[in-house]
Amino acid sequence: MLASAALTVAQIPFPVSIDTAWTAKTIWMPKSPLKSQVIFTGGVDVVKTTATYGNPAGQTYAKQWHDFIGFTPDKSSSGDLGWVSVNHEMTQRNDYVGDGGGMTVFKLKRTDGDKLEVVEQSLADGRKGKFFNVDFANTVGETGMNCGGITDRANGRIWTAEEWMQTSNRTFSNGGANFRDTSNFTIGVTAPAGFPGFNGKVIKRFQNVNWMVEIDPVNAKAIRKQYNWGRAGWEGGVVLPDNKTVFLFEDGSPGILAKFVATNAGDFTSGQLYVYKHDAPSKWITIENNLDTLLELNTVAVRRGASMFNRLEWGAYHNGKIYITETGRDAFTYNSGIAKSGVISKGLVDGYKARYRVMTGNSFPGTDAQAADSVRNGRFFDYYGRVLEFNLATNEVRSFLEGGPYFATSNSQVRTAGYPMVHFSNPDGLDFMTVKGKTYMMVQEDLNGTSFNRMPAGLPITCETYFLDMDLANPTLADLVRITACSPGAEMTGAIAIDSKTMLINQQHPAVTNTPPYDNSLTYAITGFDGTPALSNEKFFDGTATFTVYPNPTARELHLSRRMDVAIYDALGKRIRVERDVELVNVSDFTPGVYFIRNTEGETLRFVVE
Amino acid sequence: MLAIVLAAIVFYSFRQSGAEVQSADVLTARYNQRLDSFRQRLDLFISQLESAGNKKKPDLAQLNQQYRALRLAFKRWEYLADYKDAQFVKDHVNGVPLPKPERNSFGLNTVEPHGLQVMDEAAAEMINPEQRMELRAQAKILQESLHQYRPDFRIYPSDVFEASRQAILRALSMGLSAFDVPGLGNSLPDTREALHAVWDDLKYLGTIAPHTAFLSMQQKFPLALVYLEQHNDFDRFDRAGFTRDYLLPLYRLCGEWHRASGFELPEERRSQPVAVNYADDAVFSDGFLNPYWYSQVPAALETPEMKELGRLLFYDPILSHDNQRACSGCHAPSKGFADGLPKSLSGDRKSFVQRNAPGLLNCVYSERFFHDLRAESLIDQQEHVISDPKEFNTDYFKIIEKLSGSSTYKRMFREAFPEQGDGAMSAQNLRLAIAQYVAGLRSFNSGFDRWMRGETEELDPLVREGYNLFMGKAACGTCHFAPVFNGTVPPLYQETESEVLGVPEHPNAKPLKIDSDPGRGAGRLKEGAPYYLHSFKTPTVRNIVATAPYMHNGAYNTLESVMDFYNRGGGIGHGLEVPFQTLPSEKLGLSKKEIKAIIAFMKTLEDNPFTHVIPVSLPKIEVTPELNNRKPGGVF
Repeated sequence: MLASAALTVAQIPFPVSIDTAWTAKTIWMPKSPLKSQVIFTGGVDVVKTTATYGNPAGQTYAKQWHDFIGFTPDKSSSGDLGWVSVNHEMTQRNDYVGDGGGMTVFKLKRTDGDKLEVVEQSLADGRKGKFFNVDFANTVGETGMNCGGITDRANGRIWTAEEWMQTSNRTFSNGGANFRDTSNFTIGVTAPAGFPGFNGKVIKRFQNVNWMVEIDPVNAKAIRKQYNWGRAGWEGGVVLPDNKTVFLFEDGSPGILAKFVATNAGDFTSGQLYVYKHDAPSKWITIENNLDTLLELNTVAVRRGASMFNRLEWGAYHNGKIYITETGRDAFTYNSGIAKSGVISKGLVDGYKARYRVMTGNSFPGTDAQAADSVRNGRFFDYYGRVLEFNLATNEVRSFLEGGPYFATSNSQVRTAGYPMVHFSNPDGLDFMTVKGKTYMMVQEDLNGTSFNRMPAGLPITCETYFLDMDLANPTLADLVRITACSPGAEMTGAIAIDSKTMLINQQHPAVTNTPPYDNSLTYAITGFDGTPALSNEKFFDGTATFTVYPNPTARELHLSRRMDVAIYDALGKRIRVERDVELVNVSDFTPGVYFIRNTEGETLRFVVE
Repeated sequence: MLAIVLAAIVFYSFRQSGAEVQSADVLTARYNQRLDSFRQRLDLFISQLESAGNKKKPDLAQLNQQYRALRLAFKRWEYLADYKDAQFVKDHVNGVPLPKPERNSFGLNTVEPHGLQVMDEAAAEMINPEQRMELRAQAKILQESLHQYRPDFRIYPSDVFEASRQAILRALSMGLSAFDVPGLGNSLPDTREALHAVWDDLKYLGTIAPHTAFLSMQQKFPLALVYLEQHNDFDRFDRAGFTRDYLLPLYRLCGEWHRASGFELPEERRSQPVAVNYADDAVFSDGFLNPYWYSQVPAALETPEMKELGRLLFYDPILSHDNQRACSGCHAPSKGFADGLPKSLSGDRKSFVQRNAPGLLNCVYSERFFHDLRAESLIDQQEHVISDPKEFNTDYFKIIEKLSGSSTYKRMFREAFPEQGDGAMSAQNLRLAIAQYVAGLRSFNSGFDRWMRGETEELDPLVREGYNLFMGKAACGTCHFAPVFNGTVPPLYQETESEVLGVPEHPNAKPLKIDSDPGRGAGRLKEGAPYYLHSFKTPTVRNIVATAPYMHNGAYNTLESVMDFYNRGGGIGHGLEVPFQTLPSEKLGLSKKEIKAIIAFMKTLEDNPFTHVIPVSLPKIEVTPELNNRKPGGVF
């Protein structure tokens, strides 16, 4: 039987084994300039706790489901970088760190060789250790489903956002499994939490979640729930350089865009709240500082005709503009209920028209108002989402980078250029990073699904992280640079650049293939961006007949000279992978060593992964 | 014999460089043509429905014929469509006709069901103008989804091999059981059509990559199709025989052929593992599914040292706050790793925990754990038991503190996790060791398995009839999927289902009352939906005799009473109000003899090789000598 198997092998374009004795041209894949290092593991690392629910101060395992990462620079000791705050997007009863979700904080320093280290600290409340849970239960009341948040870049202030709108104490508490306390909550009983006019007001317990909540990372305790910014499905926000204006993004559908302007710089306890309405003369609806209104902010705003978005997520400020991810949804229509009063945002109109153009081959023939009607009536299946740009000078919003690609034809035998290498959907995390004087947008996917070409057919869900050069005048999907180091299969969240060398990122759900303890929620650092060659997306693809391969060490990709089928062989000549119809091969999971790559014509090249 | 086999291997000189590209062109064109004809059939059916309008006497025969043609067109497209883009098929074309929460959403948003299964319910009543309106509305939603669907992929020979095996699994577990025709009820013509498309493509591969396995398939596949054509009586179809004589050999041959063909295997095309073990050719066997995919404990950790550590911890009451209760207290080896009680006794020894203790044999083959599906994995589920005030009432910190007083345990942790040295004794490793032990409680060696594998010819005719009913008329197999007979959904076996049955609090109470347990509706925050109220995980029926009493609340003591509950249409059939019951509320119409046959079948699924695994003694805890009195398995 062996002989017959060999006979079969000899006749197929990618034999299961090849003779490696033949010397071929060698291509070197240098080591990645990027190094990753695990910093904080949920369920494994130990957090120091305060006295809570009658239990004495002590320690327990950190919560999981890491999401947002906040960063507060603090260089008080040599090598110190600052305080990292990590959200836990969950709700679970916990006797020591408090019910619901929560946050963990720790201080990072950089040692020799660009290693990062969590520094032992002593807090004012007597806690000593490396990791500390943020005390919400004894300060502002528990938080739940801590998803996104805000890092005030200029001053290092941190807010955590509580997603997943709660509508009753019954579902909020879930028989005590999520939150044990369902008694009414009185605002302002703990100093300094509270606001003039609201102190002493009594709300239902479930109404004390879904706020933006400011924390003090250095003391590992909450400061206040930001009642004056309104209760909504907040996900992200931006504090502008004036230290007075805060933009807030709601993860809802319809979701709203809000703005708070403080009376005095740095004091966000008094000021004026607005909600965006692009078709109003002033562009903004003024929201009165009334608790009943603030408790139902989304409903009130949409009834008053606010611009309706399709799930806003994270955003960041750059050069007079705010960039916000609008993640999209597998199904939606604004044709009923309160959404009838809202107006369709310009981003969705742009998105609808862009898709119309690709899928029909013609520009949308109607007006923007007609395009908006199509969106309202459910004619826009917005499964990709987009990055929005908000211009602070004009108060106008537009689609900056539309997800995609959409396809003009169904089942074409002619392949769409760039696909499946170029695909971008459901953007979520967003931040800017400046490397060697160049600013890049870092944007992360959080896929709502894999269908409709969001993932190349047959591949499991992979949420990718991309860099985009902000100097490009009119960026397209082809300009996105994939950073493979951030995408090992699980959902990645919270990416934040802490300086020009290092970014921090969370892996939220364990990936099945990870070995313990990395099968938990992780916060890890990727260091070495300052050592990367320019983060460009130069295309080596030239369509020529010559079989050539170009390495991209940062992205861990081998780029091919044209679209083709290739097979990869190990050092012994055993076939280990076959890639069909591709312009590049991702080698990020290859161990260092010698490999061979072969095309259907039987041409073979040797490549070395360092 | 060997000489004959070798002589039968014929190789054509094939493939200059372009030949394989050509085969992808041919296969992709076939896929496209099938998608186009499915779309055309749908357009045609919609126009027929429109011309029938709300006429009192439309041409029902013609409508039915058009509907059948639509289904067959779908079935020709389905096997590759589902293989390449299962999510699209499930979300838009052929998902179960039940509401579900929107995936990855910002709050609890419900996705109403659409697609062919919803249409099938309406199609069964096409005589009713309102149902025709509903059918038309649903058909138009499907039409719009298909219009927007613009897949960008090519089909390669390796796709056809793997998709064909999936199609055979789908036929075996769902195609023969009418899983996706809730209205019309007979899925045999559909199944034949789906397999026909598979065979068309395999025949084409036979011309470019012939092999002895293909030659054997050439004998068998056409006969399977003829058999399905000649045996169209859904209630009397011999599923056991058809599966054993046709589907299982075809599954094996397809794998053999693929491996010999030189076309790339699934693991060469993707870096993430999947649940089905492609290298294994037997379906009714322990090798069929990959336990490590489910347990998330790496296979490399399964050393003798790790197994022994997991076993001791499973029987050691040191895990509970009073050092009296071990995992095995409610999951006893002699009782199929259940405890024989309706609900287990609480730590206070007076009250009872919320639900019935499930048996653990083969429990690993699940995506989620607990009756309400709240836990992700065998690793995660332990914390719920450890922290529950009615169960172990403690936490990992206290457990590790106690274990640290034992030099034996310290050594065992070090040996199980040699790279971690003194840090080996940790909560993380404790979870892994116990999960690994529970994941090892697998058995696929019942008499029925051996018969299906062809290792024995002996099978009681009553058992054979029982399997045929279980997978057919009695519809058990539409939720308890073969071959594990649990709620893990084929053909990928990566998702666990729950069902609303309407189980009463006490079966003999008058008036009857539905059990108040909210189940999945209160399991996870993100699943607190009304349609998940009273929804519970579908357990395996393997080793069911040992795990009485039954249901999440242990309401039924015997298999006869369980069968009677189902036969009468679940909660609704008993006159209860169960707004989201997922069990058909019509009576099954099973005779006493038929029920007897089904029970006989379930009884053959008995195989517990783990009855003598309780340790005789437990490691000494030197630091806390009073703990050395603890009994293996604990005190209850």
